Amino acid sequence: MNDERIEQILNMLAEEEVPADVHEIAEETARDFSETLAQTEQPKHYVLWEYIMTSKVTKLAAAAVIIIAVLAGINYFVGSIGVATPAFADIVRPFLSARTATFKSTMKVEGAPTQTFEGMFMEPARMRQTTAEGVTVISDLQQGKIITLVPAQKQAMVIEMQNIPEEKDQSQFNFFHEVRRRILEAQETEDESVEFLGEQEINGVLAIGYNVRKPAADMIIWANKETKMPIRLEISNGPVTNIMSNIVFDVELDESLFDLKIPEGYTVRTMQVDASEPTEKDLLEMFRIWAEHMDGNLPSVLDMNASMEFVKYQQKKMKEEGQELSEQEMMEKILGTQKTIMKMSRGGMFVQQLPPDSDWHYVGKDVKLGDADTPVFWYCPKDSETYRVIYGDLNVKDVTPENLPK
Amino acid sequence: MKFCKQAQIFEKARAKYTGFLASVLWKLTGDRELFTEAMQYALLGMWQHVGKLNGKKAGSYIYRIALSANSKAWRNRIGKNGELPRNHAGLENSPDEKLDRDELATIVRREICRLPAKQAKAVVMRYFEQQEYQAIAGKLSCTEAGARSHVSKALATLKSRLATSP
Repeated sequence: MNDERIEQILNMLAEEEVPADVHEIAEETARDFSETLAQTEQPKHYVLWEYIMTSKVTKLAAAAVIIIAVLAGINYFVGSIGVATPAFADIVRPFLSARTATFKSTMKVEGAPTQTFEGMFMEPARMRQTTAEGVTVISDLQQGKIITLVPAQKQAMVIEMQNIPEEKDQSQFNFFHEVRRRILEAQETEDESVEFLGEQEINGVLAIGYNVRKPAADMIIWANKETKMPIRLEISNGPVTNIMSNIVFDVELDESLFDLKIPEGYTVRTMQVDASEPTEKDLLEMFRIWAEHMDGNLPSVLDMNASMEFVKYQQKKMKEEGQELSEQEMMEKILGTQKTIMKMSRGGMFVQQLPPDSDWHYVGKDVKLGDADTPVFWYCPKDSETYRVIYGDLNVKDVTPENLPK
Repeated sequence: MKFCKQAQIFEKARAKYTGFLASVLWKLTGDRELFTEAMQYALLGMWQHVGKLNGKKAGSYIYRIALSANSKAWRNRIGKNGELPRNHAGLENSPDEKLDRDELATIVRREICRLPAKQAKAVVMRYFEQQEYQAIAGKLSCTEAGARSHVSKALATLKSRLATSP
């Protein structure tokens, strides 16, 4: 190749018109950034912290989103899936039989930019998710290990799951397993929870859809009308909507994609996570940690909004404390926040795993830790005639149904 | 410098340079996702070095910010071995992209981000901004001959890298 050819290519690039939508992207991005500045009115590093936490220029924060979603249990894929029509059974079949799959995962969280991941699944329980920025999270739940690789900063985080009960169903940690489990469950207990949504064109394909209803956790599956192959799955839970698209089943995937070995030259942090069955004690611990980091207050809610509330409050506190952090310190702060959220997630898992007939209630909004007179949470344990009631001082009492808080 | 003063300079620079950044970064990326990321890095760069956007050399400094942002965005996209991920959306699988010319354009874009800073700036100013060597020399703080040298070295580097590119 000669210089002229290179110059031709450079001239071709120079002559390329900037598309109108690209100008819009530029303007929108610049406006967003200015709004972040206006909201913070803080020194440079605060802006960086806020921007990292909310922007697409997200490295460890993006990994945190994935990990929290994994560890918090993708339990918002809950709800029994009734087999309303034979077509529904047809469209969910690939989820049950696939040995591997690839998909695009889009996570929309209110108040934060949309995050997209390229996802891969391989039996028996391996997942790989990569963000547009190159952050990769690989999990192998049989080995009880999750690694996060941040190539741009050569940072790695290893999460070792401990105390995994042999008999415990780990499906809540794996998207595909969870979907499978619910489908199988539904095939045993057919009910009226599946609603046929009719036809809709999705990316030029005529699709049929089903809504699997569950309070605050709807799941919608769209499939190609002709082939019956799933093309899109949407799950909503509070402020979080997760969309799975571009789904390809039984694609050839190299085992090395799921290798848990950390590449050379990476700085590694290791964290142990308790993967045993969550109990009431974990919920109490969650309340305690929450109050410790939230100026003595208890959570406003016990759903996906809680983690958003936590992160936003930490940002606010950082500003008020007036610390000027270096980029390194800021990353440490993000990791610390992530670790705290993961610890607390066991309390959330306990609540999410309670059966529907546990009749649980949470009324801890505006309650301070230590308030011995105010009940904040109650539920009915399996086969129990009395309820367990947790008070603001984290004391727990057994209470008969007629004496429950009004 | 106080926050309000910093914000004032930033807003002025943002109004002045957003169009420039859109034009240069689009030509250097040619991909909306990559462009958005580069744009975000550029804005962060502008804010972090806002003091330098208030002086006579602001026009020169904005090139440095743009090129640095472009490099960061590409670094995240390309692997350690300098290769693009095989399955990255938007960079393959489209019939158009199988065309030799477009493939070369992608490689040239990728390689510009790996050029030494002054060479990259010189190429952008000369080819994307159609600037005279005299103006380039002023912005690079070198002689006109020096500016020509940066451009020709950049072309030579691009040529050799394209020759060995997979």
